[in-house]
Amino acid sequence: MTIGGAATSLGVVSLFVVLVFLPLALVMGQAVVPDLMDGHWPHLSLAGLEHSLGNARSITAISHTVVLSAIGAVSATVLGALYALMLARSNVPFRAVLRATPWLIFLTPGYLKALAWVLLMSPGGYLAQFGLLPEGWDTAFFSLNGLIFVHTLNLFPMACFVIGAAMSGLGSEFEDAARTVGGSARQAWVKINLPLLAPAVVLAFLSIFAEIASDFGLAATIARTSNFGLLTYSIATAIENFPVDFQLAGSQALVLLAMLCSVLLLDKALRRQRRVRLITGRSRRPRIYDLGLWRWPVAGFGLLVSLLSVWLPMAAIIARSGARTLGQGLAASNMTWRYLDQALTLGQPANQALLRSLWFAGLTAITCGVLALLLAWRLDQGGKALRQIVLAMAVGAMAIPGVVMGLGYILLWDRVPGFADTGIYGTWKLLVLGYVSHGLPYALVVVLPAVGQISPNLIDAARLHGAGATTRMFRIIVPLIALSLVTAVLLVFARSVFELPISQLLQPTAGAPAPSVIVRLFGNDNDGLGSALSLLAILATGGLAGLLWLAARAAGRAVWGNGFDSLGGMPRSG
Amino acid sequence: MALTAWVECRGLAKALGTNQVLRDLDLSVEKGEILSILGPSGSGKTTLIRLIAGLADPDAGEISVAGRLVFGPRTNARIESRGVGYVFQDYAVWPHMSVAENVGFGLGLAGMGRAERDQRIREALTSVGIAALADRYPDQLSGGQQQRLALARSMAMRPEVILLDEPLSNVDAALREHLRLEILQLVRAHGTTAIYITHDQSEAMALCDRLAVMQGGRLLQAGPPEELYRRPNSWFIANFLGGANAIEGEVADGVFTAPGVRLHTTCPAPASRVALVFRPEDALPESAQPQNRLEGVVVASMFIGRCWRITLNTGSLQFVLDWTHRVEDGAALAFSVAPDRCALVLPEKS
Ligand SMILES: Nc1ncnc2c1ncn2[C@@H]1O[C@H](COP(=O)(O)OP(=O)(O)OP(=O)(O)O)[C@@H](O)[C@H]1O
Ligand SMILES: [Mg+2]
Repeated sequence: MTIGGAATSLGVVSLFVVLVFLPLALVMGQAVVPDLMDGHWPHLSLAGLEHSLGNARSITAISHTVVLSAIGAVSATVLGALYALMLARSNVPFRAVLRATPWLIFLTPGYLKALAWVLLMSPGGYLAQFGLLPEGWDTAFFSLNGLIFVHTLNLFPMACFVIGAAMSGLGSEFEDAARTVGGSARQAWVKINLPLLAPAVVLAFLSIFAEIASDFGLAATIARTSNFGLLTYSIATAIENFPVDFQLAGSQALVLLAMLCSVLLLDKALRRQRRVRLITGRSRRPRIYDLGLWRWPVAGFGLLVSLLSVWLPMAAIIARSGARTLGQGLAASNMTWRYLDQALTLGQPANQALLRSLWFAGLTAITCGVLALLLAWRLDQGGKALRQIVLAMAVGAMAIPGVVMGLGYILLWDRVPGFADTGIYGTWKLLVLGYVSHGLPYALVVVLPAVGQISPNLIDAARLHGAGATTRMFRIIVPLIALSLVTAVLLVFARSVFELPISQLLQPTAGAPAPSVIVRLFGNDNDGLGSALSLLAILATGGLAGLLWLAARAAGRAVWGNGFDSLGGMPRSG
Repeated sequence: MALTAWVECRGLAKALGTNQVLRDLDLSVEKGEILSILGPSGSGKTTLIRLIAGLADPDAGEISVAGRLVFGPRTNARIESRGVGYVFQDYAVWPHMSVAENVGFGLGLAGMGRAERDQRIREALTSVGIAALADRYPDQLSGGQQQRLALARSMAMRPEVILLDEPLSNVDAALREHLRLEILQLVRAHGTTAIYITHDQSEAMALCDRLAVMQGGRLLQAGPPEELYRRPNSWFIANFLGGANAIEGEVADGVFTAPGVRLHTTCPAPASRVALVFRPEDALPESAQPQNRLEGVVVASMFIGRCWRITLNTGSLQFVLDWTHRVEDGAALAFSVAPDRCALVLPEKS
């Protein structure tokens, strides 16, 4: 390895250590070495852990988390599989809407959907006003049921993506082969397709399980309202409420991490067991089933899912942001511009929170973009192995729940000498740092594979024509990955605007960002202003992202000519 | 020792990971010569020319280009100063640059002024016949046109030597022959020295002044193609270049003997225990060389266009012969081989 290569590795490692490893280590240390931060001689003790986890509240939170994650993962996986099957193998109409739905769900934060469903389902809420809410459903909703319902609608896209990809890789050849030897359609599915799709189904289930276990959005909204204690929320309260109990938070975080680790290990073990390598890179076009008249009810099912997961929540938020009270419904007399006006007027707290969030998210997105690019540049010289390692670390970091990260950041930057002396705890700088650590993995996961897809010969050809490292970067690599880079920046931006747990835990004393303000407003029965703020945040993010996209494309054309368009999304290998 | 040839490699060795890809390899190419390198997949052909280009560094050895040492114990010339052009198997034309920009990229980096650069670009594109496509982007070009562009891009730099790594393997068969001739003419017209890698043996032989065969990271033999074909120095080369019949036995005083076989040969013998090889097309009627006669029973006949390919069983041996007419299966057949076509190589297992 060259000196440059060694320096790069060192840089990457120290970035990872500060952003991820140290905070995580402190969280875990906190659980088993109680005096870690007290200036005493630290000693290992499981007593604290036992005490923290032995009380009734912790036990409830743990069991609730397991039960919710398991049931939610089953139902989201089933829904996702059906949805994927509908899209991949049937001639269902309204494909454009049905295809867009999972992406729209994926791009909007869960807690906004949760808050919207609170508006819809509460006693006297929108559904009740329209007489659409059967007796007793409102109370039923504010419990495990409602959580499963919203999680399912929010997370089935993950299963849909994973299983859909497997289905299109599978094609229909195996199934057709089974039919030719006399199997019925049902037998072909049960005996051939299902076993072949099983790994994807298991992967989807485990990912969703992990996602629900680490979710904070629903835990801090529906679950809190329903008094349904969950680990993530319990961790946050242990830190936020007085007296602060880091020991408790650390212990619960440890349990959560252990849960996620076992999911990860389980996934690994299962994959090692079934090494059927039939899904090749070749994408086969599967046969489409003609559903006949059945296609209408099937489309109805798809549209219903779309309605419940995207359009109805959106409508509820729009309606609520223009209404004086929830209870008086959609009557004209109930209309008001007050909330939107507050959220739009400079100097109003809601507006300040919104601008703050947009600004922080922008800063985060640009930082992550630049870091991803720098890494891509250095890794261009460092070779494939280093890139794989960085990618693996990024994927690992993505699995860490925001609450745990937030806790780690508090411990590191408030309490560890050296870090605490920087004085960034309680300022916007730490919040942005938290966003960066949360967003960078996503940027890397988008950008690094794009760099990896560039044929090394394209780079070598440039070297042969006399291009040095900088020229290669700006005249070959950047143009080739420009679209991925813009995508990464936009993705990080959108995630950061709505990032809840880190916003809540690392709130700057000078003023909170929009996500924690939104959740607080709903919690304080000020859901009108909360809805208005949510609506504006969605519009602003969507609008800014769109503008940025157009600007990037125009700039790309101006700098790199029409060739920029000919790249058409994915860099070509040459 | 003075390095005299235009491109010269001495004692090159290179390991990639745990894999010793090149071992003690010597190679020289004269000025203006076209050398084809032929070898099975994984024999280290690409690695060899990457070392020459400077895209990777040898573990040991020396390389000189145009009489100048570019790699040695204390030398490692920068890539762009070596005067080496390189044409990749997958073209590697930059997709975000137009045809003209692709060609102009290196010229601009070399500090060439606009007017001269445009002139060069036009010349280069004209020489490969794609001047009309100057403003297109690579994804608007066919595979053959992209490879022409890649060639123009390299030639525009006026390299001392151009390295071509299987440039035609991604081009469809119909175009391949045509493009091969074009490349040859262009390189010859400029008097450019070229190293042309391929694993198509007919392409290798058709194209070059000299042919080098590699196997397992070593250069086995180099010379004019007909010499390698007629006088292979190993069983591997004999078999690799067009296929051959082989008989293991002893040779003494120009007479080769094996159980049931006695053949005269005028070819030099590398040892006393040898393999005698002859090509299917060297089989003659038995009356042509009565002293060098072999016979057997026909087990299969196959029409292959210019002749019949006959498989003959002599009991312990099997031969493949090119014959002018069909012979019934089971019929006896005798044939002969001229003494100067009975090449001797070391037996396969030694
Ligand atoms: N980066 C690498 N690390 C380890 N081994 C490598 C690497 N690149 C190539 N090799 C190995 O080196 C050997 C020679 O590779 P090389 O590409 O030079 O072969 P080649 O003769 O060009 O083959 P082909 O005809 O398939 O192009 C192969 O066995 C290959 O597997
Ligand atoms: Mg090769």
